[in-house]
Amino acid sequence: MFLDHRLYLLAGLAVGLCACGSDDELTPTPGPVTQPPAQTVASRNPVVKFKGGAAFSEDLARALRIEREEVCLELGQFDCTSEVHRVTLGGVDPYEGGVYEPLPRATITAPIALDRVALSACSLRADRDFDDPGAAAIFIASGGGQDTAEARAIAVDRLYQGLLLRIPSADERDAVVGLYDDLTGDDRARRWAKLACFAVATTTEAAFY
Amino acid sequence: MKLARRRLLQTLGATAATGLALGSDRAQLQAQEPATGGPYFLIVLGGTGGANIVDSLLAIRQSECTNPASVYCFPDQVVSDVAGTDFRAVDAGFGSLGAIPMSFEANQSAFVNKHGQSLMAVTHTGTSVNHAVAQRRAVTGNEAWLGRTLQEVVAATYGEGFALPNVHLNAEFGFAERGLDETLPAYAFGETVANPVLWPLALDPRKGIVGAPNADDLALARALRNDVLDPNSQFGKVFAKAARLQHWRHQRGAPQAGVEAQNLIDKLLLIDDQALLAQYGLKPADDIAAVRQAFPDLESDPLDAQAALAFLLLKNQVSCTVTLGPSFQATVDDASAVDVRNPPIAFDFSHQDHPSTQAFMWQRLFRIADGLATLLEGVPFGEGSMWDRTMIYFATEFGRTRSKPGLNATSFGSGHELNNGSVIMSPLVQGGRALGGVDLDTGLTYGFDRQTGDPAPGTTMAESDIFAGILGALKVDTAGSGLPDVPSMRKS
Repeated sequence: MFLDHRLYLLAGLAVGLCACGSDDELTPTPGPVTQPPAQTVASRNPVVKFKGGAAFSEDLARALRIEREEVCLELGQFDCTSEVHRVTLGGVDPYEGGVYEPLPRATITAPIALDRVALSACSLRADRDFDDPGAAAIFIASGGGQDTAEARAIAVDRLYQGLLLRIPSADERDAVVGLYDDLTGDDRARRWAKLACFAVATTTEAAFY
Repeated sequence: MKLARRRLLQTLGATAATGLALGSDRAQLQAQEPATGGPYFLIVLGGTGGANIVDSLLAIRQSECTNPASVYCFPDQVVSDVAGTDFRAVDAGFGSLGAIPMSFEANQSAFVNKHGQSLMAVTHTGTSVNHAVAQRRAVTGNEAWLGRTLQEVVAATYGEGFALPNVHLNAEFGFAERGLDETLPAYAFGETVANPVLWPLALDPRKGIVGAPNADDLALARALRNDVLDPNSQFGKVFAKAARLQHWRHQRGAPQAGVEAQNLIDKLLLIDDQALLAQYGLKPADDIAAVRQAFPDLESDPLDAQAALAFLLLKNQVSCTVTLGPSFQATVDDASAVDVRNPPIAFDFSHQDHPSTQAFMWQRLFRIADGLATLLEGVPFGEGSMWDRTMIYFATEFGRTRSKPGLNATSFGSGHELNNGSVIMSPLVQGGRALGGVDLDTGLTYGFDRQTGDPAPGTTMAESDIFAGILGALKVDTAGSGLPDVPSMRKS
């Protein structure tokens, strides 16, 4: 079992390294890759740490291929994680706010602020990809258009590779792709893109380590 | 898995409906006539650095002081009696604030005359001259009731129907520390706000974000995340019992729904640039004009910003207790090199120059308290106003040493002194009364009879007495707590 886990870890690291490369390197091979099922054992000492707003923003920028300064700007001018939601998202503010240590526990507004940061970045990424498909980074047309299940599956793989540094399981891929079927109304492909990105980017796996 | 996800998404309708029902229940609660006995509201206004009671309501004149050359007292002409009360007020002008070359006039009499019937002074002697420790003890009564803070007790008692019952608007000081009693409901513990002007943006996940999905779509994505992706991922399974993840998931549930259901981003924004906000589908709080009139420096003075948001949190019944106060950080008006709004280390700047610092800082607190009380008087609540159910507790660490280097000394420093007193402002207390008194030989305060409030020279009151008296005035049931009963502090 340990050998299996190491193999999965190596596969994940390889995917993660690829995620840092160029667009061409990131283009998935035809057909979704499936992570083999692994036996899960609950940790006997389950201690996790909140990633914090600063690291979260950096990771979003890297995964979604946007500039760090573009990730989330409140009212177009106040950076979300270095200014507006800095303390709420686990940062400190010693010089102006007199907050010398991170808050010991997540406040009620912390998950909301985190959602807000991710939604901002995901909306920006999706709008750019749909407005200029030729330069798309995540939501890339496949099979003659963006509004296909195949294109969505590829996008989900890219989201997982970029945001969680691993490939999704088949169930995870199906679940995120299937979100499309629950949407009604116009412009479903673009809406799905934003929501799929948001759902993966705000998982506890993305926010804690 | 997909079937499971679909089932969960189908139940989302019910989940969302539950959330909405929660929100509407809360809205109904707030629209109803207040239940007998509650809610009551507590504002903790920190006198950061040592607000000395004999520099305000209990000032003593040189002519009545036994040792005016060595005990701290004021020239007779700057101290006035306030009619119908036990109080004094000090009105004086200063050529500088310590070494800061700025002249100013400090006027207490206008405030004390206006609010005298809602003011009460209570003497006490603390147990620490360490700032952080003493601040904490000022709100826990020196851990008088299982280490609970006053704010936590009030939030636990009255806050169940509030989205954020206990909000700390100054995160730096011990008045906002978390108490020790983990058995209190989670909603009783404080929510920290570091930037009152921008923080309301964290109260909605999507409003104001360019290109954000609509609320229904977002609810679907959140359900997918919360109910399918998180619990079924390797990470989610391995660390399912991690305390931080459990807390995070809890916050994402009913507490978050309670906040979001109230559309608070539209009720609490202090930014007044309507054109800018409109670009992002936002608007300032409805009361922004009145709030800015009361706290005109909210963009340049953090204390004004704290007070402005404190009022909106109370008025909109988002919170039943708020904590604010001047920072230890200096605040200087950018437009003027010498216009100091807050001296370095606040009241503790008394180390450098006691008389001017105390006068400047007391005036600062009185201005904030006046603004809050005046605004709350204008908010109908039941048959009266919100102010009828509100208390402002001027919490502070300790007093200052009462020594003075000569009869005519006007500029000198002071140290930390356990002996002191606090100002409490509320229609719920024995307005106009000073409980206890000042020894004219030493300038130190003495205690009072808990039942009658009569002066009791030779005694002192403990932090726990003040803690208990405040809770009694706020009609909190303290049965079984072991706290003393202090009926003299509440209006009979």
